[in-house]
Amino acid sequence: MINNFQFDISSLLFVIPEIFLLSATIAILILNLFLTKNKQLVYYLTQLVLLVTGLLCFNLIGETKAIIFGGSFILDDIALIFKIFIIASTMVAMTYSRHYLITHSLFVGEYFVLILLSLLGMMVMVSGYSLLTMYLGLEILSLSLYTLIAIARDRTIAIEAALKYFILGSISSGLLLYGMSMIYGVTGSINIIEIAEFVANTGIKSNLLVINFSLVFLVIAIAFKLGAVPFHMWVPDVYQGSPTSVTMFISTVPKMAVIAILIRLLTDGLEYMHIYWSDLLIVLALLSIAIGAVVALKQTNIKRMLAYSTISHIGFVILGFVTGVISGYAASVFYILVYILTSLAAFGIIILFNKKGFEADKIIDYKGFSKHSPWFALMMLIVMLSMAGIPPFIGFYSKFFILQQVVAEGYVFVAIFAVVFAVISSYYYLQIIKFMYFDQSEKTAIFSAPMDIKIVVSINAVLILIVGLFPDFWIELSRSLF
Amino acid sequence: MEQILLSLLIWLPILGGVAVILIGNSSLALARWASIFIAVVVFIMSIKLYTGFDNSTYMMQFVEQTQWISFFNINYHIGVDGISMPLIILTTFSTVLIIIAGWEVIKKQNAHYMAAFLMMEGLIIGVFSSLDAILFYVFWEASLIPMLLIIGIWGGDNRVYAAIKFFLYTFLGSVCMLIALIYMYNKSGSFSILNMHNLGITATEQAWIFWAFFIAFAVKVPMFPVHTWLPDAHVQAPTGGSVILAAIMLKMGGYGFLRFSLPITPDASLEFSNIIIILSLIAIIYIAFIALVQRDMKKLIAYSSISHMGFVTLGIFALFLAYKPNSAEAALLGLNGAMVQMISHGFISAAMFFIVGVLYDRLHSREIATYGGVINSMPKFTGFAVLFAMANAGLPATSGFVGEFMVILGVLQANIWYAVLAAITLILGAAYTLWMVKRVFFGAITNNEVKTLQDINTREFFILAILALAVLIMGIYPQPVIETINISVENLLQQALNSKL
Repeated sequence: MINNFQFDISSLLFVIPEIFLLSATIAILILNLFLTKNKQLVYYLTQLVLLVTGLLCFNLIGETKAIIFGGSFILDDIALIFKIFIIASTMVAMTYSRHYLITHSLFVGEYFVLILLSLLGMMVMVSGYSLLTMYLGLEILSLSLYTLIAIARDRTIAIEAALKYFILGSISSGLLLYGMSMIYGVTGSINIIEIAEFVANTGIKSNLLVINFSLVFLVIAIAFKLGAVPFHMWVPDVYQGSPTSVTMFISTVPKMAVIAILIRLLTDGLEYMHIYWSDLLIVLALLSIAIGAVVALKQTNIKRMLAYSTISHIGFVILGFVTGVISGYAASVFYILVYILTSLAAFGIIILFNKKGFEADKIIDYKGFSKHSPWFALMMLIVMLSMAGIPPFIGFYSKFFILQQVVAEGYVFVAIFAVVFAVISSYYYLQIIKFMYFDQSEKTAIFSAPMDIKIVVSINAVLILIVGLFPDFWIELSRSLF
Repeated sequence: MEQILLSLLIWLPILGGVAVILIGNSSLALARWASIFIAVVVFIMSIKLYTGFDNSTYMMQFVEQTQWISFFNINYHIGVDGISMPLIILTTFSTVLIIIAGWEVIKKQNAHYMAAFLMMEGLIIGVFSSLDAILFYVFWEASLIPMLLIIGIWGGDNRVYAAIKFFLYTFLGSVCMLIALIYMYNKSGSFSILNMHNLGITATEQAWIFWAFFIAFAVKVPMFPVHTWLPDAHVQAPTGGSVILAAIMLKMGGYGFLRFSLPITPDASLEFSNIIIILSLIAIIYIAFIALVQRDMKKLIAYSSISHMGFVTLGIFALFLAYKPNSAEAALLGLNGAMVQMISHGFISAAMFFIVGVLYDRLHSREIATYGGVINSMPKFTGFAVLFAMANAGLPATSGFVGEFMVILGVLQANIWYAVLAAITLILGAAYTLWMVKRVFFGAITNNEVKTLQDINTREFFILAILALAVLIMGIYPQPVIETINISVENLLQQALNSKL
């Protein structure tokens, strides 16, 4: 049992990245007040802060697993690797965002402060080991995201998206709290360790109904945040309505933090309830894969299409957790890493294509893309094929890993179901390729994007191929987390 | 070089393709010469596979093995036996011809066109030489990408539909195979194809795995009733695309049956062999009738391809009926015939598509009705066309005869009616091919444009002459090919007949 009242000053060592990030964020916020002309400075400072935070996290690698602050904060491999990935992805996302913000006159200092705050929220989520810290992190993240969407305050569609996200997000937070309070009611604790001990020792028979009930609420709340069917209604609207740079951010990094919560809650805390929650998850997974694949077919807006594609990918991620074995969880983590890498590249290319007054969010905008910018068309081709799960791109291996685990646990028909819908979903990825390569267009696009985006997008997309040829390291990395 | 010969054959064209794209940005002429250089070098290197090949063993040769994805025990494991080696040489051979054929004809993004074919060459060689199931799957799927682009970018008016249909059909087929491969991996802990051959699996499992493989390979062959993508793809694809599709990509399906279905699921293959034979016979006869009524030359040849590939599946699965305990000869004849038919079809269908390509380049029409009396303006060309038409109809002394005759002989031992039905096609094949030749090349000139046609130039003459030689050599003296494949096929027959239950 962990002593709740002990506070050791040396435990602060483990939260140095968070402390630094918070202080730096506040410093930037204040600095921003006094900066009237050179707003670019905020961007560079943000990148610097991200880099330093990342290095601080990197510095903690190799430390033994630590559970501090009365069991409410954990620092283990999952937390560290997730944090490093979240920070790295945020850096890439920021690099892409800058061009978008400048071309659409959204470049304000608050944008970066909010990003840093949401990052803080995610880092707390990833390290949260009690119900309260998880919730705290989730709220820091969500509130920052609502504001980020509304930052384009003269676009009605963005305001609509922000409101929608806010209302549905609040409901799901409410559900989460409700589920948590019931867990607390039964176990008498908010610490994951103690909850796990209670469920393991006391047995679940006498309290099965309540725990099951709370489990439903927890899973629904997580499904809401991940955007899994049938709790996906907000996803397409928010993706479409948000400024593309925010869409890119929402669709990538926070998913990883929510997955961390899922790991802590379900696989650590309620491990013994696996047979119950895997039944819930399998429904979510299959519905997400199917709806995400079918509904995307008819989309004309690329952001909406990617929203449904995300739903489908999330379905695969959840499928890995259904297996209930650690290599299955590893497959899910690998999938989410791959998803973020690919998704970032997709949005990066969309943003690259942006010009003043041109959002490049219609699929038709990509007509004849290969003629006037063959290199970036090739990059988009790689991204789309990887999302469709065609080898040798990395998207194949992530699907393969999940399928292998699913088949190994005896869910052969689930695997067949998943691949059939993967084939269906490949149709809309092919549509993009069709517009880029097979169709002609008289229009020629002039890129106004700066060199740094072009280079980072290229590296990002080429990585999809290179990691695809040598996926061993990443698979082993995901496996080593559990 | 012997140790890494196969790797060179795979990666040289792929990296060469990348180089050709880069060169093509600055100088088209240089890119063309670079691609022909690469293609010829790869072809010459692949000859070494033949000269260095040991005919007396069914063991894999030119083997390379290194660890690739250690977590799943996936290896970069490649090697060839008598079944895959001839198909690899067929691939390198066809690619050289395709590069030459696309020399001036392809106006749009010429360097990219060449590069796509080079990359595809490497990927297909990878398919034929993989001994690890996932490596095989990666090459198998990856080879769809260049083909998709080739049809979609350089194809005809309805190219988008054809390209996407092609892709989705094959993709759906192969994901089923992937699940089957994963299932076997979970049982045995290895993706090695050779290990899978020896893996003991129950009858029910075999049935499931057999049908999963069947979907993947039947789509590729293509067998009736999943053949409908092929006419679309062929008609829309540029000449080079049609050639590679007919000459090589279809063989990937037949190869899959030989490498996966028969040895891994022998009992299921036996159990379902009648269904496959009937589907093959439907393909042979019914599709031949469909070919008869086509107005579009390319469509006609596409259907004739399906019909001829029916002999391959027939020869493969007839072995269970043809096999008699005291004499394996008939079964062996059928299997060998299937292999020979695959290779011979590679030459003939390639030649037929080149023939149509030559006409299309001149008049931009594939309709039979556009032509008539071509012999008056293109005598040399007509000579070749008639030769290949005869080969397509299965005239003795051409390669088309050898394979089909062997298959029919093998089937005759199994069931005389099957053989009779298959033999009918020789008549039907002659009917649709010769009737097309008659309407296109002979008769009166109805279209004034035909009068102004230029006869084939040196480049076209060269391609057709090489193919004509190949068709005749295979037809007159097929012995070297049969010797190469024989031991491997015998071993395969043993595997197919050994029950795993």
